[in-house]
Amino acid sequence: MSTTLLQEYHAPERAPLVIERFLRDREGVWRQIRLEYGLNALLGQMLASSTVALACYGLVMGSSHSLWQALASAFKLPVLFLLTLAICLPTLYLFNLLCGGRLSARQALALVLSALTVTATLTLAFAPITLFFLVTAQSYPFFILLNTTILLLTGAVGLSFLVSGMHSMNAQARAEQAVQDQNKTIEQDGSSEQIAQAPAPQLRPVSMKLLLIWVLLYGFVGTQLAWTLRPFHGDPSMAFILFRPVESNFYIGVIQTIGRLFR
Amino acid sequence: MSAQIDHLLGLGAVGLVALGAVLLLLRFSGRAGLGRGRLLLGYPSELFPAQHLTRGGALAALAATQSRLASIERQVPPQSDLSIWLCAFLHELRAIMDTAYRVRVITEIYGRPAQLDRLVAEVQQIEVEIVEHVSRRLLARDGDTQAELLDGRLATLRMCVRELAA
Repeated sequence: MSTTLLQEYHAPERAPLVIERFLRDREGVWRQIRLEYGLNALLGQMLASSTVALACYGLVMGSSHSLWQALASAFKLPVLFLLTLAICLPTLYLFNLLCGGRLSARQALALVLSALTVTATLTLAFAPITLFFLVTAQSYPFFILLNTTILLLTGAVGLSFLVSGMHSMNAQARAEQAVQDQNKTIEQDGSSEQIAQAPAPQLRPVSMKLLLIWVLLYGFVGTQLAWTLRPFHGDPSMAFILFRPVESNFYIGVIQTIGRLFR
Repeated sequence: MSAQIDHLLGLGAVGLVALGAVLLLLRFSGRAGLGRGRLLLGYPSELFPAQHLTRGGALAALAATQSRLASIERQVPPQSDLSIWLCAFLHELRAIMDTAYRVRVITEIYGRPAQLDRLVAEVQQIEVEIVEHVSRRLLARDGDTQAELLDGRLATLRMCVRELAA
């Protein structure tokens, strides 16, 4: 045997490749999160891979303006996603508890980070397309709209991954509960003594309606935070600036940019 | 410039509050799954679906070693040096078992099952050493107990002698 092979796999999976496991062995990932087995390592891998992927895409976005803008965007894009996660995570966890759900805070964090990892990696996969348009199309409004569309699209895919993960975890929990109930019935049937037992408290799976409401909240917070952290591209007619003054909002900004594109 | 700094400070404050809330939740919320400190024994099917690989051979040998060491760990006094050391080794062994499983699953795909015999032999050698060490420690402890018992008997005898002399 290959000592090399053993050493290679003794080390945790390389952080940037954690996405491969997500796409090939989804059920295994949900199971790992549900059982909280080796969760710290998984959380670290997801955090590292999504930060690196978003920083790389931020570099591409900001490179349309200047080196300073590229560096600022490389810092701001991971901050945008991670801060949105930090702002919204307590609501997901506490709502889940209020509705009798069984998620722990670490499980909630792992679920949202898994969505973020998918979003970040998909966003990075769009980097060559963004670079292509950066070189071939010199329109600033077009570039803003292109990146907004890419980020909204990848964000939506990531959140749908989160919803499917929650579905799968709920199904696994229900199956486990059914097996436990069956075992209990067999044990009771087998025993000669019939003791009246109070039913064990049943924890409900996470409510999907609640999750969808949370996804909307996450979207609102994310878009507003993105508006607060702008510029990510930098207006070519202006000098580098770290933050623009907070005025208007994201949605009006998008409508105005569409207007400028067709003017 | 001052507006930029205000903006940055505001975002920093939001970030600190949000991060603090997340850290508090992670620190104080309960666990739904296996939990820290609890050791996973063997290769349960829900985490290790390739059960045909775990039922025999090297993986089964590793699981048997883990099971024996875990039963020894339950017998040594909790919070003792031995218990802490054994617990750390059991967690190491768990990591080795997980790795061995992954290697078996991956090499099986390529039709060349990994030879884990050397690894199993090494783990079993460590197990033998641990068992010897634990036995020595327990025997030493047993010896101490017997010495204390003898001391007690001696003290009783002395008291009897004193009473008789009186």
